Amino acid sequence: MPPTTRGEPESRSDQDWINDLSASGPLREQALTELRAVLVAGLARSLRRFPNDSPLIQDSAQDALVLIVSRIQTYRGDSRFVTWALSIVIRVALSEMRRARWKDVSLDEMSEAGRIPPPVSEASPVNVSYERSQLMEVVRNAIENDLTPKQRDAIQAELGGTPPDEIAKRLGTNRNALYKLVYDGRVRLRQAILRAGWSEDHIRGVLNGK
Amino acid sequence: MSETDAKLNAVIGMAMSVLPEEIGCDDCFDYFAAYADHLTNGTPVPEPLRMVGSHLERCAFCMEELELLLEAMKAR
Repeated sequence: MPPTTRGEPESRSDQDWINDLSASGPLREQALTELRAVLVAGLARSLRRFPNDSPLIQDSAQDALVLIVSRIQTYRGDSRFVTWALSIVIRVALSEMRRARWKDVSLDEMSEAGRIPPPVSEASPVNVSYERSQLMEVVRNAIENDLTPKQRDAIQAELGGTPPDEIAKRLGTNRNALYKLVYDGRVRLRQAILRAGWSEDHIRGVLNGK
Repeated sequence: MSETDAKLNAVIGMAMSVLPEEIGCDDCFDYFAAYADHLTNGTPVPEPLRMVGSHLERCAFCMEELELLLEAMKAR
């Protein structure tokens, strides 16, 4: 006869978690309560500036709990169950923090934040070596002429420090598709830089000021 | 380093670090927990998970998630 309650959460095996969260009655309720406590404790430790009872931590734990239960069949067993669950609550909380931080920023503003400005004028006190300014011009031209508008916006937004979730939302896509878009853009930039006659060693030397 | 220099370095790094095979953020996330367990246990990262490491080298956002996950794991 299966148990109706468990002992300490620490003693619960990965399979126990799956069985109990998939069950009904007291075992499931106990597992949900314990997993929620694990998520809150983990999140509170990683996001130290938020107290355990802050809305971010409590809401993220609750949202993650729902996701975990609904996705339990996708748990492959190649990690501890609790690690898998914590990875989900971390992503939920970070996504919410990033959403709040970037909610009023448009794609144009994100892209502008990462734009490499034109070369400084001769009157500028900034000392830019001739080779460095040439390399900068090659890169700027490649961004302007070799990328599609979407690739340019995505790469510049990433350079400006925008999280991928937020870029993806503005572009109406997901993180994986965004990664592919940026990857293809990176390939084009690399080709353009090499086509302009720059070798990897030469670039490294210029960037390192040699 | 000026902001312009930092951007120039970053965009050149993005371009020149392209590998023939890479994984995206969502694929990386699928193996995140297994990768974190290997790091925590000190066991060698098996070949299929090496691409997670490569992704983390160039994705500051996934790296931030991993760092927070490793910290969260210490709560137990």
